[in-house]
Amino acid sequence: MAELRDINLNLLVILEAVYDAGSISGAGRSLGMTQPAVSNALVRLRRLVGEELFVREGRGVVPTIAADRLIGPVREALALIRSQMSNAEPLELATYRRQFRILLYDAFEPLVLPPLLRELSRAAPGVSIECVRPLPDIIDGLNSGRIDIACFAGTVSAPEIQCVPLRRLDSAVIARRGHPRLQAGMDRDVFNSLGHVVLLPDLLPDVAVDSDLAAGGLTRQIRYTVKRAWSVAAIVESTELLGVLPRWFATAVSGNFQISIHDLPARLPDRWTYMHWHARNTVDPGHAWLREQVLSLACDEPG
Amino acid sequence: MNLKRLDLNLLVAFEAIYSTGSISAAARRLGTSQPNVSNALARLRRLIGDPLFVTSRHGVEPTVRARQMIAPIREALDIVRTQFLRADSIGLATYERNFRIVVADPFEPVLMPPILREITEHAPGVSVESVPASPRFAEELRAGTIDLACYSFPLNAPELVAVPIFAGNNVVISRRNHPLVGKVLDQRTLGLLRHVALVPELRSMFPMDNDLAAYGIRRRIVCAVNKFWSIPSVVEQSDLVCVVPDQFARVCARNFAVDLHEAPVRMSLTYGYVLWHVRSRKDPGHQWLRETIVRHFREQGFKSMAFSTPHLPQRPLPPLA
Repeated sequence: MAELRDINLNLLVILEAVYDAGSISGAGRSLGMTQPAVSNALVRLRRLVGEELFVREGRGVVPTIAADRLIGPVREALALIRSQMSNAEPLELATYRRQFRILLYDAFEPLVLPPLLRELSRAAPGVSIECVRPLPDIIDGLNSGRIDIACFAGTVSAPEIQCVPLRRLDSAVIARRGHPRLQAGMDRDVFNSLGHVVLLPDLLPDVAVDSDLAAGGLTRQIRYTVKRAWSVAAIVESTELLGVLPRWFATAVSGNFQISIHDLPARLPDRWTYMHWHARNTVDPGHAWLREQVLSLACDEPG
Repeated sequence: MNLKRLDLNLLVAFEAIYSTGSISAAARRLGTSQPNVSNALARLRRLIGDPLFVTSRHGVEPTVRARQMIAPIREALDIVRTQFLRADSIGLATYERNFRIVVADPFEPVLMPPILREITEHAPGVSVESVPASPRFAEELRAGTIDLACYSFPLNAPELVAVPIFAGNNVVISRRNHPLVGKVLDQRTLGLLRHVALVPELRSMFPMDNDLAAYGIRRRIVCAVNKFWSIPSVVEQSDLVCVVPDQFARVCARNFAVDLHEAPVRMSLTYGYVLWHVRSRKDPGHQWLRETIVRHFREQGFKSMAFSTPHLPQRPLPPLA
């Protein structure tokens, strides 16, 4: 490849779109281009790079190693360009088109998703949200741009990853309403002698709830282990089992599930949840807008 | 190797570590302590001259040697089980075991409470671990890392036993008294509404997109979620609607202020099965679990297509996430 002027830089936007959408037609939709036009652009890109960038799989396409290698630098370049361009014109939410991919510890869902989606319907109808499945490597997801933000307990540390605290992981015990063993309230004996539904989410890498509980003199008789906060509420409601959940989640769903909320009969060390993102997005106005929304919804009330 | 030098009980520990992918989970399954299992593994390593398992991000992973060993060893243990154990020989009151299962979200709130009550009352040493369904769950059944799945049939797999327990329609849920949804939801409105739906990789396993496309309907999906449980609170508290299997819609309606609407187009049925690997057929603990599960499904009044339809569906069926 000779000079920068020989490269049609618009092809890079298409590369990013296909990488994100995982399909030619999906990329076409997000770019407002026809499918043949996107395919055509990919052919030109392949000629430029000299290597296959995507291969067909199922109904979509998957990136090759060459595309995986390119995507980081390409995103960085495009982010720089976007930040410069958008300084010139402020974010026009009404016509803004973008899909954000977020990794959200599911206990945040009832706090964040409904109001965020109401806001999108009201002010940003071209924006959509994808809550991606927990990835084995969150840092890699943020670096490659497969996810825009990640909200969970604990922090990951990597040079380019930024984070802000969201909320203290204040644990509470839930039981079904009218549980016969809880008429006199919750104490260690009740906690230790009843069976438990235990939440073992994929997104709490640093939070060892069990050892925190043990340090507080509490042990759980585990009957059922689940990956989702929602499952705990649904099962506790119709059994005699107890569950330990973030208090904010239990409170948010207490109108939906017939559960009562009790203080843990021990004091646990403070744990926090954080929002993470890649530093290249910090100045991206669309990304900044999303972070602001999530921060205001997932944070503790001020004061 | 001369079998005299081998303590055959070490193989039971080997199988348990292989199946659970973790020393601590193997200990739970065997009803023993973690040091005991580590110790057994250490002895087996010395005997075989291979590490057998190496630590990985989420526990341990088998080496090539372990992968070569597992099938014949399972076969041998199965033979022993078949010869020496019968279903009625497990004493539930003292039975210690942790089952790893996949339960699709739509089944969980209906199925698991009675199972867990039964465990609490009759089998206090038994626990269940619910593992999220992934598109690879058939491989996990084959590998023995999960014991059983309440799910839909993804492929032709002769070594998996599939008991049909459910067949249902898809319906649309909206928030109660949604201003844009009339008494009858029509096709045009369905296409205009904003939708929440599963993420593409889960959705592609359902025929839903194709069913709708056949009528020229492309949903405006503004929120994609990675599990069914994320859906009801979003639908209850926004103007987004969702196409879901009616079994899950009924679960939603029990706990959330949502309305159910008949889909305005003809859509494929969603099927549910209880699936397990043939190797578990004569494992008495497993037999107890699956019989309990199937019995509760029937008692809960799930329609069983095994009794209502003489033929099985032709194409691979979509799984429930």
